[in-house]
Amino acid sequence: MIYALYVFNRKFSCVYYCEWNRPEPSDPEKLAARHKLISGMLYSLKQFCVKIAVEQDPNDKTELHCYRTGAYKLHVYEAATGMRFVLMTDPQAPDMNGALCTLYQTDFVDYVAKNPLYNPAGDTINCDLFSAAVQRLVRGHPNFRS
Amino acid sequence: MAASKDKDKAKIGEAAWARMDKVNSELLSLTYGALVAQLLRDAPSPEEASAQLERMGYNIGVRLVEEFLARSGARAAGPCRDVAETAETVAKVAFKMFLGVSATVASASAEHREFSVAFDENPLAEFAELPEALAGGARLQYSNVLCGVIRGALEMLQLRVECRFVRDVLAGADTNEIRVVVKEFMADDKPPDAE
Repeated sequence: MIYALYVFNRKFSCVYYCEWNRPEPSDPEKLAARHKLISGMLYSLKQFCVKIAVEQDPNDKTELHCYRTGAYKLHVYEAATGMRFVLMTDPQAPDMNGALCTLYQTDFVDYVAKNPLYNPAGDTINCDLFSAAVQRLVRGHPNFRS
Repeated sequence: MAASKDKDKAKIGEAAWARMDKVNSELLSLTYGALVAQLLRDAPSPEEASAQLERMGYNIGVRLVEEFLARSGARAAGPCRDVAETAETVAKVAFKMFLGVSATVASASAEHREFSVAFDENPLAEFAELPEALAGGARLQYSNVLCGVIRGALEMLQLRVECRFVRDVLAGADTNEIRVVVKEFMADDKPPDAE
């Protein structure tokens, strides 16, 4: 089951959000608070992962992949530019990093980064082609509903 | 070890170039030429036009870097660990991938804070010729957009640099050389309210 997709830019503001399979849509106020919590968590956990690594090389493969709780699993894909793609699924879902990687490497690069109306300095992504690609990817995923 | 790594970079660059969609290089150089000519007419001075080109390049660079990361295949080779490796990647992978030219790293400084990217062919300036008034004293940096692209792209990767043309075939030099000076290794951004 896929619950939500977040895209954060390098400044940790949430530039894209979409949710699925929820009994009712999230309250916008709670949503803003949740965005803040997730971005704060991403930052702290990244620091943590680097500090705790056995080999003290900051460039080593210390990046956060996913974490799992009893209620959900959170997958993260981070590009070197600081764009972060976060997917929330049920705890039994398989590894989703491949899907997030595809989303970044094809859809984000083609429809957002190359879109002249998108401002990399911190705009929300407001692009129909990207949204359509997200829907296609998520709804077409074998784990979308199960 | 170092030599084999350089060869790897060249190979990655070749492969990336082969995967890229191509545009006609004459179309590119003529369009770019028209753009520079128009800027010269609009800007109060050739120096100002050069600065404007650099700013345009910067805005290209901050976007282009995403495509570079996604499509170059450099990610598989691992992140760049130092400025020397960054320099190799810019010259051998990025220049090949986006311009189709083979560039080399020249005269890197011992402290790894500066390097030059040298390339003989410049697709932007293929048909260009500078009049004496503009070439003298390097008043117009015809291909300054490239400096901007490098600055914009590296800034997104936490490396603040300054770039300028130190040798330009258009100004009578035997090769093109862009000098890149590292100003700052930027810290990661923090969330707005992080303690």
